[in-house]
Amino acid sequence: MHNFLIYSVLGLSAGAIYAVAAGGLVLTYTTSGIFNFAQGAIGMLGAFTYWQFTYGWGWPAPLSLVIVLGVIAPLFGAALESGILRGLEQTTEAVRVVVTVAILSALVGLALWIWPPNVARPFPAFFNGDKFTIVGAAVTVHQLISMGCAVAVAIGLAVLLRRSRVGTDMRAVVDNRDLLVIYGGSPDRVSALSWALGSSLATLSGILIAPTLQLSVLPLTLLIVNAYAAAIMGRLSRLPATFVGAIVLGLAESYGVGYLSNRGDFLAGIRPAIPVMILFVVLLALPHARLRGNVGKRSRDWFPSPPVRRSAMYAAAFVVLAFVVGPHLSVANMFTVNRAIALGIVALSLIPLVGYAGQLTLCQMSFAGIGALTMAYVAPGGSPLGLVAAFVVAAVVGALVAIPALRLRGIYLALSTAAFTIVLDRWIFTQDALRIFGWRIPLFGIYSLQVPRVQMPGVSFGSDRAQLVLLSLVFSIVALAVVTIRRSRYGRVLLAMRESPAACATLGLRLTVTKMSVFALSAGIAGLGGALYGGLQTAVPADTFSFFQTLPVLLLAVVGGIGAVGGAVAGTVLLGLFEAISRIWPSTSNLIAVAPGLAGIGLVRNPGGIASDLHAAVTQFRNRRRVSAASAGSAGDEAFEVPLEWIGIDRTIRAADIAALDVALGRGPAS
Amino acid sequence: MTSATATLEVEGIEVRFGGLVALQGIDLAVEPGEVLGLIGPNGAGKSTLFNVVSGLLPPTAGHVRLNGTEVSRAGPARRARLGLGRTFQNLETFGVLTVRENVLVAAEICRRWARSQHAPEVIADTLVERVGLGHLKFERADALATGSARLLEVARSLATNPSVLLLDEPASGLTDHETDHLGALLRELAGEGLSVVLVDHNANLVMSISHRVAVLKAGRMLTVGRPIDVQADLRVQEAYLGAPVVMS
Amino acid sequence: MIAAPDAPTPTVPILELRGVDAGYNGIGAIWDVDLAVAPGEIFALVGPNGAGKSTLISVAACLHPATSGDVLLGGQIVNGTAPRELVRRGVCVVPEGRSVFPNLTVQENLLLVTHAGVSVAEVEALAYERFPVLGTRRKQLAGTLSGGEQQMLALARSVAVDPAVLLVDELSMGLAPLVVAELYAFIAELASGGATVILVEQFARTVLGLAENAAVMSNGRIVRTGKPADVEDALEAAYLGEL
Repeated sequence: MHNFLIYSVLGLSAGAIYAVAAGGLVLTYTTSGIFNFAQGAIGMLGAFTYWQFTYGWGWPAPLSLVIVLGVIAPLFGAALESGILRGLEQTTEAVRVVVTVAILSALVGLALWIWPPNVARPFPAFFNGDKFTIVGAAVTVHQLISMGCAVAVAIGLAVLLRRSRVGTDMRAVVDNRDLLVIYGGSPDRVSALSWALGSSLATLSGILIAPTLQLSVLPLTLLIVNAYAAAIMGRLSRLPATFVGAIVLGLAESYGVGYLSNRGDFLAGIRPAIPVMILFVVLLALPHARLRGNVGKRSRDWFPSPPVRRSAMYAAAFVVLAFVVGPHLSVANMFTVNRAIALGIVALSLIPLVGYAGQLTLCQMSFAGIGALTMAYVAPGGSPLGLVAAFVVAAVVGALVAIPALRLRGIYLALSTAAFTIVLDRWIFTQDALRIFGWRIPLFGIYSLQVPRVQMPGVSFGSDRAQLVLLSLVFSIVALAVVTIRRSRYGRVLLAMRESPAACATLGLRLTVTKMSVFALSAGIAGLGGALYGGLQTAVPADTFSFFQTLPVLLLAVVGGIGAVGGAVAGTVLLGLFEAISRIWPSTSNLIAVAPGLAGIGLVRNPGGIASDLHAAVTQFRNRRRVSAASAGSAGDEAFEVPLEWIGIDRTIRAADIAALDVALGRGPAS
Repeated sequence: MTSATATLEVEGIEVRFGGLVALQGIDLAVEPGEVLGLIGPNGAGKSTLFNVVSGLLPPTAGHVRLNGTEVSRAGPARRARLGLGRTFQNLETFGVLTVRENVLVAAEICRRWARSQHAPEVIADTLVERVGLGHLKFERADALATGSARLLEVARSLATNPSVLLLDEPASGLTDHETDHLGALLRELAGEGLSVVLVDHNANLVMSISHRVAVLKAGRMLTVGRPIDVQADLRVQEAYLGAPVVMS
Repeated sequence: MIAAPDAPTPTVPILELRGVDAGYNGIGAIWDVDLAVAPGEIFALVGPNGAGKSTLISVAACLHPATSGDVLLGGQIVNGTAPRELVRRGVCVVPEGRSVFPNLTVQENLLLVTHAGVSVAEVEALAYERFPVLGTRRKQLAGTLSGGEQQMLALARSVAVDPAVLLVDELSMGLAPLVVAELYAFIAELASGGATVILVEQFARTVLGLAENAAVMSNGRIVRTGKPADVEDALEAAYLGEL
């Protein structure tokens, strides 16, 4: 009974903190339509900023609280909204998710840069953890303050939303954004304001939770995944349900830790996984999304279908290049290149799923991890069959993960995949072994797991140079396969499903089968990449395949151009380049850590990615040459000297213009 | 209202959104080779009826039968397999695919069950030409003008070789010339035995190619009859033009 | 609020469109629209569904840009003006469908009218005086009002800005004839008090009896302008087609 009281107090105070963060999340989502994956990262950054003021510079705590919560955080939130997120209005939901994930990634990089993690930063609880006793349970003042903050935030939000015109504006935006314009209001200002408030609430929650967790970047950023679960319980729209959800979550977590942590089995480490599992269950309980048509937005996405023969030539050239260049690379450079190519295979796996099929996922490195585990378990001697097994096992798990995806889309899908990956990397992967029916499957454990390199009869891929050849060979084969998919019936079906599930269904397509198959395919490729990546590293720690390792791969693949193999190649090159730069000039390593995030944020300007830009530039150049050659410098072609995209004109219109010009010149439609 | 030959039969359909009655007591039967015009003022429930028939929206009550098979509880994919095709009022073309690929993917999706003797590529090429989009074959669908995109949706729905085709506003955005071409094509298809249900705001098109015209008003079927009778019907005129207000 | 010291003479139309083209994503919806509405009159804009009436209203209120041509308010070109500026100058749009915020109470809906630069006390007093039924439902969510009451709440916005240019899209849709009569009585009263009202209706005959001038739209163009009696014969062809 006594324990129960203690756990209850702990749970309530944790739940109170989740409630504060979740309240901000719901507020920003409902008023701007953008789900802020970076909410936790903002809270983390806020907690660090507060630490800097109070303990770094020794300002009085109340003063730094006022400055951080009242000035810095709201300005930051408003700046995010008006500087970055407002540009997302005309983009697809996938781009919105990727951009806020990019913000998360950039903020994490930034925090690690400003506050290097190897310095201890004590972050005491308010009033030094003074405590007193209520009905037999010790309660700290800090816990009371946390609960008080939640109550105050609940009341404050209710008063704001119910009693003020600004709050009424916020609710009006939720009801009907366009109508508010007709009434003379300004929805943009309302959004900026709600982001300012959301950012303050995130910061408050970060400051409140930091003493229990210590001031550490990744746990703080991830912990507010709990707030996501609470917000989902409120269906991302209802604040009261969100607050109740947060409390339930806090309690569940506390009881879970209290009653399970002294068991000897793998349940002992369950703590970080509890909220995530609740999130997963709540997501599954959500009602089926209604079949949707296309959103009526002109996508600028780009899905070229290059000829297979030309692609095969590039692929062959790549392997030959690897063979020739390999001997001249230093050990360090070789490792950088190898690592980039291995991750590039994982990036390739994203193209059919995220690119063609438009299903956003944040758990690709988990599939890679499963591939590595399978390789280690099935083929400890390095048999190539291990690669096959890695593909198959990861594909099966991928199909299972797809089950919620059959019902969910957009942010819900992204969240469920994030939940999956966090369960794996915070709980399962760090265990020593998984025991199923007496089988013992070794996991990464707290140190690392030995993953073999591929050995074939007569050919060993044990050396780094041989690894380079193997990796480039596999990369080329997978890239060719992905190109072939784009040109196949299956590829067309995936793109069609991405564009309009409703139209596909009325054409007789079974969406369930198609979605599961593409998840399985993508997971399989990632598993293959993971097995090779594991072998490359040989001794593999669990965090190689964590949520935070997925982010740069995903971001750079999207930045490269998720619709095309060329995009994955561009992403791979960036990965390798970034790593090489930070190795050669160690002083840039912090900047490099922020780079994938910054690049992702750049998607606001160009959702099509680098590959499509390069392609457009080349086409532009060719067309210009063709046009000027055909008309021999006649004045009428001046307009084509300016690449229309530079002045913001849609590619599709330009294509039509060129076709019209071609017709006018009597050359038939442009190819 | 049961007909032995009807390709599409709708019986007692009712749809409620909360307290709002969107459709009530809708009965309709379409014969092979018939063009049925479905008209009515804005908000009368035409698109709602299409969504119910194609399985995108479950009705509160009533039955839908396709070629004699009860499909009231079936999903859209199954209805497509039983011979139903449709287009959408809000364009649902596959924007990133080319015109030819749009039709090709439809022909490929249905290849396993439509049992066409022709290869999907042949079907796609033929249909693209037939609706008059041959010159735009390799354009991306999202680069098309509205009129061409509507024709593309018609071609795409024909690729599944349907016995009933629901067309939602196929002529909106078409030029007069394209509209005439579409009208001729629809009569031609009907001549081959296809049942066409046509919703369009272009009254000239509907009246000139429909065998019968059904009029929806505020979720109820006002009348069904020959175009000439419907045009002369005072109730229909009132449904469209309204009645003078008597001010107290 | 339109009447400045150098006020336009009564012969200057309060709202005018000159050669306006507009469309969406580069696809035209209305072409070459000329329209002039005199101050204080009730003007009916009729035509079948899809004729471009709602687009015209959006352009006139600067909610949607014209691709060419000019919009003039009281003789001044206002193309590209921010909608909130026009709201402050008295332009009041009641778009198609129930143009209230369904999850806000009646009172909160009226609170938002203050964006037009009037005090909340004034808005509430005028609205409840003109529509007493709204006064009895202050705390009720707007979405739970009857269709007629919702339209009253939407129209109540116009009493607060004086003189107003009121653009109402499909006022009568889905309402019982008695309710429609009551709303039109309110419109007539507003107009007699100096407001200008543009009524957009699909159901032409419902509105023509009330209007002083009318225009018929079909396929994105104005096909007839004149007194209500003069446009009658253009209606049937526009709605039901010619054989």
